[in-house]
Amino acid sequence: MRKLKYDKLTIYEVEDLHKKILKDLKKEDGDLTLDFTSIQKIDMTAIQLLLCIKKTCESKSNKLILINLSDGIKETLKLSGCDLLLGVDND
Amino acid sequence: MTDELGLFLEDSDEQLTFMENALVNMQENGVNDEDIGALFRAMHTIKGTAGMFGFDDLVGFAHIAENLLSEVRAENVTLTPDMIEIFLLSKDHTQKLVEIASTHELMDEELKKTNDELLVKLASFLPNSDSKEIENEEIEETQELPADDYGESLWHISVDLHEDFYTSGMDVISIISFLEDLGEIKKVVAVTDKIPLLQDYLPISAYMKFHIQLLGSSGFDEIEEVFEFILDDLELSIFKVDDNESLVELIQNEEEQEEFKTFLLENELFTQEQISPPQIVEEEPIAQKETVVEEKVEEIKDVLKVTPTPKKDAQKIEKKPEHKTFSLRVDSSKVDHLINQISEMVIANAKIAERADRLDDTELGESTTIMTDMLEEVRSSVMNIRMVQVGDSFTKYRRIVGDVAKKIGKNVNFVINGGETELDKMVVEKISDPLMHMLRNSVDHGIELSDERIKAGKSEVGNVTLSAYPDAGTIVIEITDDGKGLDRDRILAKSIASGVVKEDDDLTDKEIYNLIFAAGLSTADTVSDISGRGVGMDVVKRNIEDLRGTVDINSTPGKGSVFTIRLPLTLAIIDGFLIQSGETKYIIPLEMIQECIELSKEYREQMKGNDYINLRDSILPLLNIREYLKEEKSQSERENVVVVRYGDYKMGLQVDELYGEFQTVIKPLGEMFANVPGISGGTILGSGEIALIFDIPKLMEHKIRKIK
Repeated sequence: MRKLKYDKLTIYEVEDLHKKILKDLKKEDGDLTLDFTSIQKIDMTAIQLLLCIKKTCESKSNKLILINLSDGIKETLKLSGCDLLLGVDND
Repeated sequence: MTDELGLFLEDSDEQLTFMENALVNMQENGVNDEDIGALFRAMHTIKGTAGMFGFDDLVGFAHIAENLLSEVRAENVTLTPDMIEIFLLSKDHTQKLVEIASTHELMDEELKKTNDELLVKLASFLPNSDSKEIENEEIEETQELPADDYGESLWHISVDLHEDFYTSGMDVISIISFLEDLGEIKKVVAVTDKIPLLQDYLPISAYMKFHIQLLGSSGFDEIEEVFEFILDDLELSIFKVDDNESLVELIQNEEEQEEFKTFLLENELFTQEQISPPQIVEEEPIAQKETVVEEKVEEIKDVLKVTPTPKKDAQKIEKKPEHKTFSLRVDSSKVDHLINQISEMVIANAKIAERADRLDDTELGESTTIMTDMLEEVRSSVMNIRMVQVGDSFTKYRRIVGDVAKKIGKNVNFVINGGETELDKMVVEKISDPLMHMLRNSVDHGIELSDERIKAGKSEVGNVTLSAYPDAGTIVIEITDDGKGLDRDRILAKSIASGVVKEDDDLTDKEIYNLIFAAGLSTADTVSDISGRGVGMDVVKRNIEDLRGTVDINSTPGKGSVFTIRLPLTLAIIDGFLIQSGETKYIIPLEMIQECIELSKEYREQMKGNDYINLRDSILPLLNIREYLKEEKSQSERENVVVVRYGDYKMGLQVDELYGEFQTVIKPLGEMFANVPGISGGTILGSGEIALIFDIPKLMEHKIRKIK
């Protein structure tokens, strides 16, 4: 599990996260859980990266699991039309 | 602050300036369509950008103002002077809203009160003011969409992001939230199949498309506006869901048309019936009628090929050039960096020239000459980037003068001359506060009240003039008023009382006037909230001197005062004249040089130990640089005089060698030398030697003091 250590996940953080996840996936093979506890805000570049991570995991028959999403983040995901694609259900 | 927010602030600032300029212009020269248009566009742009950031208070306010302006533009409402006044207040209020929005604050009580008051006032000008703006909007909509039962339609918006979309600083989420304000978002379907796997993924590239369906009463234009600033960063298609032709077009633009159709169906964006008709036509052209339809579709497509955008789009494109001059917003530090690099090139080139000279290599010498010319051209073009017409920023003083005059009940006619004079943008910005202060002073202290003026035999209306013009390599900004002039005796008394000068100091009138720049001196009888606290004029002087400029006052009792600010054209590179005195080389700014003469035997005999000469029947004071800077005696037999002029003064600098023109890159001196009077900086010569740059105004000041 990777606990995200940013307070927001936006265009300013995605490059860093991209690198970290690339490393993670090289190290271990298995489901990937991202803990969103500290994340207050998310933008489209981040959502796109999550979709990419999910796709990459699934190509190895693994899963991407997002946990501890705040209501605000869920709302943003819904607005972007990507909530269901990321396996996040608002209800 | 994020980059986007910075851009927002910058843009709003610009729009607010447009707004003010348009309003003030109309106040003075009467209402005209052009200014109304400018006003509307500015308000509209602010609303648009604010919306993308979700600054609701700002959007709400701008919306009402924009509505009223749109009525004015449609000539349903006439713009009265009262309304202009309200719009000026609204502009100020908008500015405050922008400020608080940028720091994510909320309106405080007072601001809220102003907000509500202004909204009521603005709304009262609207036709059918009690029915509020919503109805107006509906009227607009019904004109646009007569066919709909409830005035609502379902729009399909397809957004295909260019790969570099995110470099625009805009986020898709903000766009969708903004669309949410226009109606109910029925569907957002993200197309994710272009997203690569992690190893091939570029984090800030855009890989996605979006299909959004929006139910609302907005028209095409309103929806398109949401994308106004990013039209170059994406492919956009907006059409009503029942608009089959646009759907056909959308499908045809896709590479995998069949797959796309399935995608639209699966995501329930369109029904089979909506997607099918063209398919039937294309595949089974049995019935005559349908062939005709097909031809029609082809015809339409042909037309569309010629003008590939929908009709409304086409109108827009035609309109654009009218009011949008193409300009580039570049961080000024980039230009500074460029100037620095050019400066270094100038130095390097000077080194090559020097080397060519020493090697007696004519070919190399020629090349460096060409290089020098080219560098000079590049340099002046780069400098030009920074140059702006002062008029643009001067216009804002109209308002300040008007406001101050109104507040204290004075009648002032304010004139701006020479607005087309160009000056470094940075200088323009830094001079803004001092100018504002001085103008306020002129109105507050200089111009008398109307009855006083009549008593003094002057016209009832006071005149304040702000002029700018180039003079001997500097830019002069003058503030002239025909008020009562400075009170020489009171200034002197106050200065003596506060210890700035001594009682037995023998001062000229001009020197006494210049005492108002001393710290802590205020001669105003009453301290108003406009001026008169004695803080300010010293700051004014310091600000101007920081720009390597000078300020001077002339005043005639009863007739008025003239404040003259002299500023250097540029701050980084100057054309200099290289001379030597003793062992050191010096640079004199070329524009200040009037002539060079040899200090011949006759002149020397004439001098008889005095330090002035008779130059064509006028006395020219001389400053012996060698003595002044305590240089060693030089080997040079000849002595020369460089005649320099600054403002009203002329002086001769007695030096040894004259070398000629030199493109001088101004480098600041270290702390240790920063305060040497008469030296403003240094530069590096081609040989690697250092030359010092003369601060001519300071040298003159020294000379004048010495003469007395």
